[in-house]
This record gives sequence, structure tokens and C-alpha cells, in this order.
Amino acid sequence: MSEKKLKHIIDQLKKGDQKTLEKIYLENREGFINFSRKYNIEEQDAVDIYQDAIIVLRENAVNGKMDALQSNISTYLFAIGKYKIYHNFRIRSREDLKDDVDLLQENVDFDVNLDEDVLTNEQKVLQKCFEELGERCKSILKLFYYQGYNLDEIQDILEYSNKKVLKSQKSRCIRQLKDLVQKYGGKN
Amino acid sequence: MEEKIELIDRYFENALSPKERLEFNDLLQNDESFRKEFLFHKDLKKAISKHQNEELKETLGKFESNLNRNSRFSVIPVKWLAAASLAILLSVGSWTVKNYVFPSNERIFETYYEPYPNTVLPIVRGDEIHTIEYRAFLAYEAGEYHKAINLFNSVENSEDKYIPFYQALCMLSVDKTEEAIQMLLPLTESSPGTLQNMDCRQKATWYVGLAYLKQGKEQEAMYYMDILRKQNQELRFKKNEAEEIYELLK
Repeated sequence: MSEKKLKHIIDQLKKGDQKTLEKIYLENREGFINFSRKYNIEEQDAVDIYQDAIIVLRENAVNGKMDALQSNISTYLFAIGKYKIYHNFRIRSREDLKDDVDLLQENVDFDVNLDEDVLTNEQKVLQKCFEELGERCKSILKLFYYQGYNLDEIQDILEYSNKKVLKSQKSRCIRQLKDLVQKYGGKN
Repeated sequence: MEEKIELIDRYFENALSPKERLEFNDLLQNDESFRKEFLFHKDLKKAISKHQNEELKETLGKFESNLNRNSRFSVIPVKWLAAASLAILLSVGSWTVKNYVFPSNERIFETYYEPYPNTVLPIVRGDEIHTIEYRAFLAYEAGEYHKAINLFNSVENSEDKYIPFYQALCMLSVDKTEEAIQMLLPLTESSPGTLQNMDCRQKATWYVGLAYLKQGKEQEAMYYMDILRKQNQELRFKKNEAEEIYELLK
């Protein structure tokens, strides 16, 4: 995979392009499930692990952790999946996983979703309230907090006439969110 | 507080200068309201990530079920296929007839649904004017519905009814059926003639009906198709199609 192509794929992942994601998903699925058989992992569990690996993949693309990646996407995805097998099934003696874990040390941030339910109660309430916001607020907050665009870039993406308008819209969204949190009896 | 928010924003933009960083750390330690505010934004980031991941997990589930649907036939051993072909030959006649006479709701939807053409803002290539609305329609015509949804959201004078109308069609195209219905329903009851070059009531009615069909809610779908098929002669938008669907659902 050429560097240019790799960069393009990572960019598409950052943007949340569904087609790219589907392509990666379908291209590597069979291989990963076959690989899991070596560890006597049933297909359903393998699919589960595989999906989690895809989620980690996307999140790391979004967080910029893959920007310096040298290997290709499949290798990277497999490394995450193998790591998850290693982690979930406590397979410690397998030497063949070691290289992959080494590869990942530098390019993956597992913190965010290695454990499935790490949200605090406040965060759970926030998630629920976020989902109740209008589409416009959701877009702005997603672009800013999740996709990591700065306000200038968001102004461009959503075509705000100036940054001030965007800023006050964003603060309105935050206020709305806080009101919703209040309504749910949160402490904020 | 506004300056403090600015500082927090710059933290998330990864853009704090060394001096600002010092100030930031100082506030974090010594200013309780700042700390609380910052933690709120940090929690929000986490909550949105979780939301995004859950949404992705759902999408992956869809990829998976598409996969199962497509590969169901490929796992049958060849000799079974040979044996089964005779049976298929015998039954295919009746199957086709059945499928033709009683197609699934999904099938009816697929057959009849197509996004309404952009009749509001003609897209001229090379045009220099790039309003949000223009870009929204550009995305709509290109089938980039997610992008179009975001852009339509940002159109300032959104009391124009065609904005929610086209936005709803985007939703319908990306399987956000319930959202689409919620946006279209008020349009079905709006006063006539308010939409630029089009009367949106009939059109909204048609798409609400189709959306309900997609959700498998046949009663609701029939209700809206019934309205359309009973239109008077001057307003005959999709009158025949509605009649056909009504007959299929009856």
C-alpha cells in the first residue's frame, strides 16, 4: 500500500466515510475469523472482537494516532484484533502475538475503548442528553469534540459566515445540554 | 467566564501556547468553577465518543446482516444444488407469482422510492456563489446525504419549508426513517402554496407514506396513500402510484 493511498484511507476514516469503512470491514473479516479459529474462538465471538477492533481502528484514525503509521491498514487492524484476543481470552503464552503488541505500543491508544463500559454516571447522562440535541448542535459538538476539528475548520465545513456566529451557536448548544442534564437531575 | 471558555476551547483544539498552558494549569488547580467547567467538556468528549462508537457498532451489525443475507445461498454444497434444482424448477413459477402479487414492504419501498429532484436551486457548475444552501443542494444531488443533512441544518432562514423537506429525504436515504417521518409530518398539514415552485403537502404525504412502509407500518402507509389516491384532478402528484401501493397493501 503506497503512503499516499494509506493517508487517503486514514483521511476517509477520519471523516467517517461509510464506504471506506465497509470496504475495510468486508476485506478483512474472513481472514480475521479464520485466524481466530486457531485459538478455538467461535465465529460469533470472533465477529464481536472483530467489530470492536474496527471501532478502535476508527477511533485511532480520528484521534490522529494513525498519522505516523508505516504498515498497511490490514496489518494494523489485525494487530488490534489479535491484541483483543490476547486481552479477552488471557492468552499469555502465545509468542506470535508479541510482535503485534509491540507494533501497537506506538500507534494505538487503547485507553478509550478497551473496556466497554467505562462511562461514569455523569458521562452516561451526558450521552443521553447529547442524543436529544438537535442535528445542528450534534454536528458542531461532534466535529469539535470527537473529530477534533478546530473552530476555524468547522466554520469552513459548516459554512458559517464568521467564527463569532459559530462560537455563540456552540455555546448555545452547551447551555442547552447543561439544561437537559439539569432536567435529568445531574449535578452539573 | 468567556475568556475561560476560550481557554478550554483552545485546550481541545490542542492550541494552547506555553503561556496559556501555565494559566490553564493554574486555573485548573485554583479555580473550582473553571475546573468544573473543564471537566464538563472533558466528560462531553467522552460521551460523544461513546455515542459515536455505539452508532458504529450498529452500522457494523448492518454490514454483518447484509453479508448473511447475500451469502445464504453460497454455503449450500454443490450436489444439493443439483438435487434442489428440480424442486426449484417446479416451484419457481408459483414463487415468482407469489412474490409479484405479494411483494414485501421493503420491496415496495425500493420500487417506488426515489429522492425528489432538486427543483429549488439549480446547480450551475463553475458558479461562484457558494451559499450553504447551494452547497447543501450540491451534496443532495451528488447523493452525499450525510453531508447534505449537516449543511441543511446550517441554513439560516430555515423557515422555508423546502429545507426540512429535502432534509427529510436525506434522512430517508440514509435509513434515518423515524427522523424523516418526524420532519415530514408537519409538512403534510401545512398550508398550500408556501413552498417555492411546489406544493409540499402532497409530496410530504407521499414520502411519509413510503417511510411508514419502510418501517413496516402498513396501516399508517395506507392512510397516507389513501389521501393521495383520493386527490382531486388538479393535484395528482403520484396519484396512480399511491393507488397501486394502496391496492398492494389492502
